[in-house]
Amino acid sequence: MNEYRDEHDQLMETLLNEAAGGDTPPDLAERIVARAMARESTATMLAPRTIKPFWRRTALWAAAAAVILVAGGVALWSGKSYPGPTIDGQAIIAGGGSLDRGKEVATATGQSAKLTLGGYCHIELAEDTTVQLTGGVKDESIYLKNGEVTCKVDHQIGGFSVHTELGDVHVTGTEFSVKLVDDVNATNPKNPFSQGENPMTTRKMVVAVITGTVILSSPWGQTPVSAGETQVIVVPQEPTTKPAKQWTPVPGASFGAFPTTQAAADYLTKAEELLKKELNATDEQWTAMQPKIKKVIQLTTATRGITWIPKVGVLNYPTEKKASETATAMKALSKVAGEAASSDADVAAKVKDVQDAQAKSKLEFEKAQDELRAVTTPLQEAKLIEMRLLD
Amino acid sequence: MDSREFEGLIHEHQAALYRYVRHLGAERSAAQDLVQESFLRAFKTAAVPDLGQTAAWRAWLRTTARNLMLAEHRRGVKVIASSEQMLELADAAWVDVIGDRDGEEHLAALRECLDSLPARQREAIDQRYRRNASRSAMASELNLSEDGVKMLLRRVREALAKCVESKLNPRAETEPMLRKS
Repeated sequence: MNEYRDEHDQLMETLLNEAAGGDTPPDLAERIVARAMARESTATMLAPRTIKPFWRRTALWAAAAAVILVAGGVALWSGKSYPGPTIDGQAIIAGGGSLDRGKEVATATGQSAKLTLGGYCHIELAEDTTVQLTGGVKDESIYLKNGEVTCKVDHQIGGFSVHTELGDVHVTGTEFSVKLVDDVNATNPKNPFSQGENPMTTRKMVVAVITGTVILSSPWGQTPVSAGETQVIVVPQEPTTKPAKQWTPVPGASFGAFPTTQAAADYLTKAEELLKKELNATDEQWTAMQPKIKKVIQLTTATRGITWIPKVGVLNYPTEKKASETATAMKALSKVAGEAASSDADVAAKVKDVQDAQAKSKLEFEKAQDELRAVTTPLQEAKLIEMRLLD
Repeated sequence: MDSREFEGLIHEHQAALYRYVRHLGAERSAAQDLVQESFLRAFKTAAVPDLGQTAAWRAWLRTTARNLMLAEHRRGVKVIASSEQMLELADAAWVDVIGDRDGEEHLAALRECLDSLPARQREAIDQRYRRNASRSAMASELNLSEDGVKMLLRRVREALAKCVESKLNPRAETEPMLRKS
């Protein structure tokens, strides 16, 4: 038909909006490629599990890192405001500042806190508990490093997972608890690291479901756990006396105490090689980039905690032993705030010290990021953004 | 498809796909997300056209984006301002006018047509689409009622549509709309 209909008029409006310069299609190529790579990494890392505990533990770390990666940029097109993380109670946010994804939250002995993610995941942190916020929009998750969490997830809003080094718990709407328990005196003759009389640590993950059903993923596969049931996952850990020569740097490995200084250096070298490969950097580019990446990571570690990099693992460079200005100012603030004799003026002065130190730290961090950005290609910049090394 | 091929595919089709979802009624940020998600589906889905099949790729991406919009609309997420029926009509209009092309020819023709508009009509178009003026502001500026502005703009758009059609298909009758040849 030859009639000029409303939908044709709508198309002409679209074309006019573009022709008049008001609505030019944006170039989304780098953003989309970066996102595709991130999703591919996630899919690879969350592939079906094998029955190899230590290998699996590596994959779990990597999976947790991938979740962090995805959490950074995913935005739904709903345009609705999505609630950020909130916390109520006695808890410490690692690095201070606001409660952002990627940060660690910890409770001390005798303390507890209530964490809310996305407005629909309500998490109680028991005493001596440390979690890292790792999820994304409507796909919230935490990495439980130690302690115990009790979680209540509202129905039909989004998914929620608790990751640990021993296994993951996935739910869409239920109430359950996850607890990590260390038994330092346990012995296990089947443990390949037990080596005679060496003492060993056994870490248990205890999952108790209060209502509904959760899916528990562990090195031994996946299993549903229903209301009233408790499942215990046990994975023997390496004894602290394990000979250093058996230690090998592993991509995606967790960061902990290295058996020797050389082992730490080997790990760093290996991780840098992987990072260089991930960035597809030439030797010349890497030479320019490495010191700037190091600087950013050191500042990231100081302000945001451990630096996770997908396919690379934890990459931490040694830092100066002295406390940062922010940490020092924060300590002074805590001291003044905790003393009954402190005046409002005393507290206000310490608050200002903390704010000044944070502002200074932020400037330093932004400067380091700008210097790194200046020596990267657009694609490398996109990858570094996905790695959270650039904002 | 490796990342280089994927990037090439995005460069080739992103503008047309953005244009299409904007025509279907997606707001700018939603349109960007729809374009992104459509390409990500292409990246991870095996059943996609071969590289180089430009028209097939355009159709595949449009279908994917439209289905994503419908899915979001049915979930209650406000991606499109109008109804599903309006979305289908808008899609039909795109296919009718642009078809499996990318719209660049239409834009080039439209720019030429804009240059040939009478001054008053050109001013109206500039106010509305370049300066994003409100209808009431335009009414004051052009000494018209708001309904008068609405009718003027509609008439100019229709005239532009005919102009574009005549440039893209010179042998066509003068009556037809900007239809594909």
